[in-house]
Amino acid sequence: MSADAGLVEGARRTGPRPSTSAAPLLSVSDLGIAFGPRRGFGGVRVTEGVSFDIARGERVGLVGESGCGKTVTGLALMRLLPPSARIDGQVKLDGEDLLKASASRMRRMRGAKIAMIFQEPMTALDPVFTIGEQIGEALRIHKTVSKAEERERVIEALAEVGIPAPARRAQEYPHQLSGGMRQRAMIAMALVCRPELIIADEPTTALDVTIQAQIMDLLARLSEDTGTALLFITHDLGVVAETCTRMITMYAGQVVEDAPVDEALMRPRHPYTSGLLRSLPQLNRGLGEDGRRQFAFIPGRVPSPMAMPAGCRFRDRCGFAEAGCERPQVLTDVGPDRRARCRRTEELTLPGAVD
Amino acid sequence: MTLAPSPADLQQPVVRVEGLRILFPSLDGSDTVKAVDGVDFEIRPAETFGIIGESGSGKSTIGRALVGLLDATEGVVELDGRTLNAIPRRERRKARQSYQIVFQDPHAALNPRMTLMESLTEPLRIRGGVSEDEMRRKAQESMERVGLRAEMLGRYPHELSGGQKQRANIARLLPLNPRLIVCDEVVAALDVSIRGEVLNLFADLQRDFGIAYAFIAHDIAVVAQVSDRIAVTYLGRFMEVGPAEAVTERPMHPYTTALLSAEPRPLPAHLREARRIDLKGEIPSPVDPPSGCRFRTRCPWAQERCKAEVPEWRELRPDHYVACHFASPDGIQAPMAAAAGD
Repeated sequence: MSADAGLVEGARRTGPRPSTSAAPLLSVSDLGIAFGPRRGFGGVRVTEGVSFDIARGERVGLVGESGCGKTVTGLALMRLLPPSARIDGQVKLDGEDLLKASASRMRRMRGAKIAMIFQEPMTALDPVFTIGEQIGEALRIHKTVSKAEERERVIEALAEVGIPAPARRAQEYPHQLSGGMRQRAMIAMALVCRPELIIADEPTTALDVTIQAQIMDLLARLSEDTGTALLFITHDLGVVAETCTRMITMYAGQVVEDAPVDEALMRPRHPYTSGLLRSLPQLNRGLGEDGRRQFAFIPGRVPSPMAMPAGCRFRDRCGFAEAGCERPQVLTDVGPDRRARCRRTEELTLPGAVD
Repeated sequence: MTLAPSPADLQQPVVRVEGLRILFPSLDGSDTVKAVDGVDFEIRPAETFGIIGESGSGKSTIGRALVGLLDATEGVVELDGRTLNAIPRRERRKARQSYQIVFQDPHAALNPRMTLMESLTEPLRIRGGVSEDEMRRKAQESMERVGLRAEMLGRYPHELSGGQKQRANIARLLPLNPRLIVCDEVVAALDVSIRGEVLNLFADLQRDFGIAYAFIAHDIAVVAQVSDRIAVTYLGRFMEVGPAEAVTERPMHPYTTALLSAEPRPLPAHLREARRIDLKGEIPSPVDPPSGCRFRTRCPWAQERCKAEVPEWRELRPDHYVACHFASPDGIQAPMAAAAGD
């Protein structure tokens, strides 16, 4: 098994890589999200100018730390933000602008074309309905199916995500399932109508590492088998390295780097991506001058969205900041399929996951 | 400033745990949850003893028992040679002062209605016998020692970032001159980019004050980096205990091996070891743990013998112990069970 597992692992990463000329499945441009009043005090801009594409069948990791805007970006794509949110820009799925779609049109799209998996399956599942009823609901809303057919499809979906005894499990309530099983049920629900894009927001953060490995393998395999594109929202660069083909790094509400995952890991082109990689405990083997273990970290803290600096948002924490960085930075092409938001990116050689 | 441990200190461990069992009644009271079901270990002065395991493995319960927040159902917890259970309740608070705990959630651990000055002087106020001026001076010293400006003492917790709060939690303990700090997932709630800063602080304090740590975390990479020795827990028992590097680089127990291989590595494809051991299923219920070896229901190497016999606790390499019938100094000596249908 082990030798074959290695091959599968290798294959997983070379997954569908559609030609760049084909129109992307999802195209986000200049997405800006703000909360609070339009004018005057109290309004907070949480993301600004977020732009990226996802190709059909592609698996993209959207990474960043708490407060960087990755989760609100995911919710904006689903149009699940509260009415107090002000959203501008464009989110085109298959050419249709989701931000302009009517509420009823959006309801038809959610589940059928674009679906979401949340971090905490216990709060995302309804405790008073069985797992089967909840998965079946997605089917009933989008497709005309008979009772018998619905039951059959639900059991199929549960089997597909590796739930043992799916016919029995379909009749159980969420509290009767373990955390890992609930997350599998969530995935079954997201997949049952075969959407073209699944947004998974920290789908394994609440799970133990051995269960996390099972769920990540499952998501990657299903995406490969069904051609569903995945947007993984996570803080875990290890998960992205093992599952995704591309990595988009966000910092303080902006995309700062967008690159094929291996290239981002080997040779990051933004100081923040580099600093984040060097801070990971797996790679943190530095010794101080007295021979003691010394952990790398990024000094300082993320600026508050209420007091966002005008120029580069990372510059107060950046070891490479200099005059000129106080001007706004633009996300520019820095190579084939790569973009970075740093005016010094061409002259810097930044350390990545390996020396 | 450095308190060099005397040779006598080196012989006497800070913590000695023997045959520890901690049982809880289940929710409906009909069953017994065996959270900790027979563990033995020592923590040496100025040592970092890492405890890893999945949720439900009993690692936090062990941590709480070390500082007297939970009583042992059976067995002994000895702190600097004194048995915790044997100390009369009235004197226990005083006896416990040198053994402290820092929790995962830095927000919940500080009283939101107290300024940092109030929070930092509280431990000494409880201990008593210290003047108000002395308490304030100690609080200022502690703040500086953990890298916070003394003028922040007037602030409330909500005015601090997560990393600053965790520093303040550590600063609270310093005036008590702790011998042992139980660190229960102390960096789990912090962003990756600032974890290193807090871990460096723990290392500095250990060097300067000779504090021993019981470092409990689910994140193997973090534990591997901070610990001198590591204990791997599963369903209330230790599977393996040994020097950190040996346990993480050359593990002897199948569970350790599986845990390490499940850890996602932030490396490009060509540098990752492709081999991953997939553990089937999930951790069984601690109400009714499997017979024989508790890990056997998920172990890819499990044999008939594992069902019948509880594995002995054996020292197979110097200071490196393991509970597995098929462990050897060179790794696991058993054929992997057929992974049919995988």
